[in-house]
Amino acid sequence: MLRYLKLLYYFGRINLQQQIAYRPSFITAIIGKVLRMFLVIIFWQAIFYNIPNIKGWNFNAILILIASYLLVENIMVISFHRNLAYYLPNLIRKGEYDFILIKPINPLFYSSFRIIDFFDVFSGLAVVGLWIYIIFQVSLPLSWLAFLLYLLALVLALGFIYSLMVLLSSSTFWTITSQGIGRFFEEVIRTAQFPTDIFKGTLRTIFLFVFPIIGIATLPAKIFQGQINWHLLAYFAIFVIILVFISIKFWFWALKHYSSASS
Amino acid sequence: MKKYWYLVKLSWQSVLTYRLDFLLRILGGFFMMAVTIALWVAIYDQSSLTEIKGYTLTQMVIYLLGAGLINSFIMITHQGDEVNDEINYGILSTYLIKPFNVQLFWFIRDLASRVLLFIQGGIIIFFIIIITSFFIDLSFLLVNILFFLISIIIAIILHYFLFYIFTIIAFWLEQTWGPRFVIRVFMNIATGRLIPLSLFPIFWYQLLNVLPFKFMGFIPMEILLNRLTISQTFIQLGIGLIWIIIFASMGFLLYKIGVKKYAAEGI
Repeated sequence: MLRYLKLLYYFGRINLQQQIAYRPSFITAIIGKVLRMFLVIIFWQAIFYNIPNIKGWNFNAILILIASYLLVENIMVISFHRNLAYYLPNLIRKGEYDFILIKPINPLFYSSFRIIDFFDVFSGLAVVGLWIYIIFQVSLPLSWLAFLLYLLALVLALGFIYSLMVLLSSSTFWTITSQGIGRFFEEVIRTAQFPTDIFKGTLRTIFLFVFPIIGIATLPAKIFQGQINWHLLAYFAIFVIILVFISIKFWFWALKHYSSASS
Repeated sequence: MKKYWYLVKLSWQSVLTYRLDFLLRILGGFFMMAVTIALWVAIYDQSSLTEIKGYTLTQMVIYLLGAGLINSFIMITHQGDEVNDEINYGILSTYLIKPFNVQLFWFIRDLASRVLLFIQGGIIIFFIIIITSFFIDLSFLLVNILFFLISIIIAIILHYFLFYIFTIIAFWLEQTWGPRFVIRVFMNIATGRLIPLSLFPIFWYQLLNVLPFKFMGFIPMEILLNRLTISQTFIQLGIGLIWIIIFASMGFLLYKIGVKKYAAEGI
């Protein structure tokens, strides 16, 4: 365990040195990511400029939803997203994954955390700023129980997304795709920034139980506002635990089908 | 012209190499579009309004479908990467000694990619239109369709030259993806892809209305939905053409200055 934490530290150091090597790109990337956060807020401002609420969600509640989503997305992008969505397919496509397999390290760990994205580490400060604004401006009574459950919900959300990403990236061992999987995954996950209460009928059932994106942001946001649905939280927890187990097993099974490109 | 036709075929071969990639990108875009439509259906469902800023639910759905489609096939995320690499890795040197116009080559290569993406996605568009036509009325005036197609052409060319400026600065910068990334992020909202620009508070609407991004989503859909008069349509198309002239002129000037200072080592 300590060995892997040390590795994470060294990965982080190397990546930071590489990413700040060219300052203009580093700074403009951070500007772009912070701008994206503000534009999401402006988008919702535009909607609430025309209507008072959506299915019980007012602007303050949506702010909490956005902040929860951005927090999860930020951690995802800093850590495993780019690794599994882009770098792993590129390594396989170029036939360079062999060099990873011969290293004395868990290949899934290496594939998931080799690149630490410091653009999002720094742009994440804007997310922190948003949370500070919410805490001071949106006066919500927050109990310790709700706070702890909120943290649990965020961990489950990350576990859910990581498992999905591991499952999707496993297909790369067969398909050798380039960036399509990453882009597709980003678009699907981005839908979590909308409250799932907007869905009706079959779609609602799918997004609650079959493909529970509700767990990414809507569920944590509701918990933060004191609306704790114990049944849904328990269901999501069990779903994520099973999914994590299946995804890791599947990834290593898919790895057996990896064929090198004569590196 | 024969040499440029070969360039088109090469560009298509490159795009067709990873067909699954393309399909996944398009599916992802449509997924997001579907969720955005669900959001607006929920908004209209619960409010007592039949119109929001003059948009009925039907018009809003058509707007989001159309703007989403324009975004999928016009806004290529990797645009500029090839040109940036060709300048910074010295590949441009090999182009400069060849008997073709480099800027025209870049433009045709980009256009060829977009045409093929549009053709490949045409099957998906066809099915979406068929399915949607069962739920909403998709009849448009022929004159609006014609002006819509013209506005799409203006959007494609405008988008190309806008990003061309932020790519050609590769003569001076090692990496240009940063500024292109910022523009792309801003365009997510500024094109009106997710929400018609007229729904923004007055300050934001006035700001977004003077910027050229509206031609890449908002204006084409306003034309198709017959929300602009003929004279307003001509004025907007004229403004779009002026933006193209401005960006194209800037691009050509920057290239002329840049290629003079261009140097490739170790080629």
